[in-house]
Amino acid sequence: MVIRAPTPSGWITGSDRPGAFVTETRLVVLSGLLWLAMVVLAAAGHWLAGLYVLLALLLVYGVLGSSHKGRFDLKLVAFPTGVWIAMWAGAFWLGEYFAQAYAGSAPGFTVLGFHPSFAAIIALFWLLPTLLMGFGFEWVKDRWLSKERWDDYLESVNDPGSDEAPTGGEE
Amino acid sequence: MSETAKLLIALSSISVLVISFLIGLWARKKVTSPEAFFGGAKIFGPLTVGLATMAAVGSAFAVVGVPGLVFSTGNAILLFMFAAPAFVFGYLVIGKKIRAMAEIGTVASLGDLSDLRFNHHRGIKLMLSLMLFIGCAMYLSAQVEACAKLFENLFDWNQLVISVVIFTILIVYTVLSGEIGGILTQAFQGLVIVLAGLICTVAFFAVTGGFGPVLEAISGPRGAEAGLDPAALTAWGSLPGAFSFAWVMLPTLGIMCQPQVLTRMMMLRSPRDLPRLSLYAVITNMVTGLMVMSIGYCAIYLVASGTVTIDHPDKAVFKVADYLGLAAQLFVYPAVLAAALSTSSLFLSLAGNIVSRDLPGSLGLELAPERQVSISRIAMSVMGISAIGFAAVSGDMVAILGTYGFGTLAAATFPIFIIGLLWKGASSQGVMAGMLTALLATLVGVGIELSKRFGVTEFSWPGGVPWYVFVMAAAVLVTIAASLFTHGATGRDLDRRVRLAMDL
Repeated sequence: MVIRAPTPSGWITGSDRPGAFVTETRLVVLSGLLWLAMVVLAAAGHWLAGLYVLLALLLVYGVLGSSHKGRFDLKLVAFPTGVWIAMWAGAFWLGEYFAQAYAGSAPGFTVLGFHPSFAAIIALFWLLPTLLMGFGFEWVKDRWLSKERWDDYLESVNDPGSDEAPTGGEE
Repeated sequence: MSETAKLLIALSSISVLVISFLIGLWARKKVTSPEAFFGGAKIFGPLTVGLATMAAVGSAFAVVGVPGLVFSTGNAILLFMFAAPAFVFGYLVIGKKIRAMAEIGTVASLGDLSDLRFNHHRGIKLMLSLMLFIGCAMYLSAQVEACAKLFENLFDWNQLVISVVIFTILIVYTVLSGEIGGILTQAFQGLVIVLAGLICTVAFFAVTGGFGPVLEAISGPRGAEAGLDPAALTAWGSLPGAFSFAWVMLPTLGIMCQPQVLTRMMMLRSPRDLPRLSLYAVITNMVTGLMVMSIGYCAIYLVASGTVTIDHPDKAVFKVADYLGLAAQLFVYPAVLAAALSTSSLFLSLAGNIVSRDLPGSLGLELAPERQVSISRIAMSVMGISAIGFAAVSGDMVAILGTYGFGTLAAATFPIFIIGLLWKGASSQGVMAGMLTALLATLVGVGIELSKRFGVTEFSWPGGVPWYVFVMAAAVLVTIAASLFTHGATGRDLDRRVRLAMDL
């Protein structure tokens, strides 16, 4: 397998970090392996394990999506994406735990009237992570794309003579 | 139901159609260029786009099919509806890159986006066009079917006549105003769905007293007599776990590459509005989720308490609305129509774009923009009429195909727009191979499912996992593997401006 490194006369820019392309490629290969593991596990009947692998896959896409000129913004991955993924892991675990605990019988308790297994889904899969991601994204808006970075991008794109990446934005 | 009630419900539903038509007519003024007609106008704010996105994603399947599945098989399908955080994740990961691409050139269709990233690769554009066209056909016919069922439940009207009337109006306003009218009418229709959601939720609590009584009812003797399974109210419902897996995985990875989401990102005024857009989209999506859960739970409660009988899951939403009374009926029926119309107008526009711009472009034919608009209008009309005809002759097969649309579209778009925009090493040959795999695997998958339907084969997919999961995985793996050994549209071949957009 050959991982093609960027060349100075190719698409690398003054602000690119050496090795960023290789890291990006390794992450993409890892995502492919996770896809394979996820589907194989589900096909073999281990669907819950497949769901946990899905969470790892989301993390990889989160890291790839945070890339800015070869830098991965791990703070942006940690919040809100990382917290969301942790909540989903908790939802799957609790959902399965209570589904098994009360299999074939009425549950010993309910949460706001819900079966405890589904209450975990309501709280940790749906309501809290949806609000967290919705408001969290607004919270990190400037880190995700500052006005300066966007303006620099527009300037660079519209300048036919420029071969440099925009330099704006924060790191 | 009294004749007066039926008339009022019909009027409320028709008013959605009439208002949509008027919005479409008004929006025609804003179509100042062919690009604007096709969706290239970056003029909309986050609220409009958020509502339109939610409405276009929330098809008739969400409003009719999901409550029926909640009633018959329990909570598993709600995992699909509750995966709203994936909306935000999609915007976080690829939103600014997609929106940035719209600054590089005229980007009015997904084919234009593919052209920019993969240096006008005709094969990729052809594959994308074919896959999107298949997905459009599946979705459109299912929406026609849902509209026909809606009015059939109220009146003893001919299904074909109902479909022709509703879709003629839809086709006319979509043909006149293109994507500009599409997004404005979808925003209005989204508002109708949200209003219905709020009313249904309040009505649910008024009728049942909350979620506890539903659990008690399904666990009681009458629940068992009605054939309801108490396991339905656990996290995974009463279906095999593979369904829970598929219904989490499909929206989580699939939502960010659905045409309804991708095309709307490009129409936003500023990319810095994406967080606000995602907030509006997920909050309205939450209301829709609450609505379908309330209706499904209400159906369980009413059947388990012996109040109502439901002979087919797809009738659950109408039976519940009828039980809740006129106030609920006046919003639920229009909401079903709004969901079907919003999805249909988007896929009609998409089909028009494919036939007039993307497909000719992939075959090396250059058409003048004005001619593209004319061809697009003809294509939308033909596509709409074909969908009516297909729905009329193929019965419930349409509904089955409709459920495949989401997976088919995700398999088509994931390699190009997710892998392609996240990885500068995604080569044109790799994506082409992935798309070819997706197309062939989709045809095989649909063929096997239809063969099973008609008793030709008893083949079952490993682990009971739905076939489209394998299609998506195969497309992704082939794209990555082939890209590792090929170089098209990477390195020196990657446009400087595209690189800047991917690096944003």
